[in-house]
Amino acid sequence: MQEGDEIIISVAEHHCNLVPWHFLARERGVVIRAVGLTPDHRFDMGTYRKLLSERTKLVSTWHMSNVLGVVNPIREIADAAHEVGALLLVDGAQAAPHLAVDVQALGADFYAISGHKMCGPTGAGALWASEEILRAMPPFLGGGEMIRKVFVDHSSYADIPTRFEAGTPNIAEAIGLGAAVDYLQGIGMDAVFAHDQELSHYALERLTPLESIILYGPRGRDRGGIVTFNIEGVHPHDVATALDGEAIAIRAGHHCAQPLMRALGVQATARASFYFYNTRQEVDRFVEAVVRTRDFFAAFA
Amino acid sequence: MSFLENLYKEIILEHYKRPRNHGNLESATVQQEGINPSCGDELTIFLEVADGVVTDIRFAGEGCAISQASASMMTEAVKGKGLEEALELSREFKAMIHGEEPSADLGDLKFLQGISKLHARVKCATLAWITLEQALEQVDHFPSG
Repeated sequence: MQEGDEIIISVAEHHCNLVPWHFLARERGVVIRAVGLTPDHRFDMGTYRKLLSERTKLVSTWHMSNVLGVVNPIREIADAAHEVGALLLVDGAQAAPHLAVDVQALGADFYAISGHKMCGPTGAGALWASEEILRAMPPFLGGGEMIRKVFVDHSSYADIPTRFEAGTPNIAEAIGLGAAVDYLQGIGMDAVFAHDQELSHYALERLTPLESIILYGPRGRDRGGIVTFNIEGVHPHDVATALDGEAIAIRAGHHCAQPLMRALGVQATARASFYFYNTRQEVDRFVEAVVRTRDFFAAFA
Repeated sequence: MSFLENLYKEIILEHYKRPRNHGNLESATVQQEGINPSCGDELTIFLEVADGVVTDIRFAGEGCAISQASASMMTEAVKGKGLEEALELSREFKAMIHGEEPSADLGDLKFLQGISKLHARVKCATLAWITLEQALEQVDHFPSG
């Protein structure tokens, strides 16, 4: 990438898909353009198409948002990127644990996953890229394993993908990631998504009519197993502690997505994330705990 | 007493809803920003210092009940104290939050003792104090010697 080249991301990215581009912007004068959200909290395809130009070299965005729970129309995003000659990198960290990923069907040029977000250990993940792209890429990390011939003052490199794996790998972690993939595939990713969606939609259904509960993210078939919310007048940290007291674990804060929090006009949010091991009864318990928390803090207004 | 009632004692919720010494301080000698790395709490501490005494103190910002109540109580405890006293109070507060028995100096701050059992909220409780310590470091000739 060179000075003046543009990268398109969205306001809803996880910091992992923002901060590296900031380094590039600082080091090479690359320009970052951000796609905003529609009023119903979806990736704004209209703005996206307007931002695309012959200066766009890379589009990088999430497959499923770790806050809004919405699944992006990756194929559409990919086609639009390719039309202007840009590549598409997909942050699949949230999606890969929850839905079936077919990189060819998606049209992604790069797809990233994170092991510890999909029942695997920390210290293992993967970046998929098409063969054509991998062959065109130079190594970014040098050392053992990724070489072909090494002399005192120069070296040649191994074929793909070994070229990109310098040093002894995290062997235990890689085996662990493999076991996690086998486990999830044993359940079936479509079944996982269907289960997640059933629970989150049920939770949304029960939460929507409640007073003082604010919900984020759209309804619809593109909404996965995440329910991000706020209780009016109660900080998400306090909500999380209250639910913790009832043996319910949620996350609170900015979820590594500060620009998204700003776009939503909040300092922080609470997030319930459902997975194949959760039940409808647990959704009921969760909703009831949210109500009790709301009432406890409201009593002292 | 329920878990929530035990943790969020009335005095804490009182300080959260009606924080003392909240807002900016035009006459501040020093000001210091603090952010909770656990995310979602930010505050700025303003100190007016004269002859080695904190003559006025304010805090501005947003955050959870624990961080705001702790900040509010902190300003009440520190106002009018000498710089060394203020630093010592901060050490005592942090010691309590990290599991020690509260010293008598802490007064109402002892009601935050329950946080010592909630690791996830320790940084909320200590944010104002750590920020206070950083503000104190900015004061000329302090620590002296």
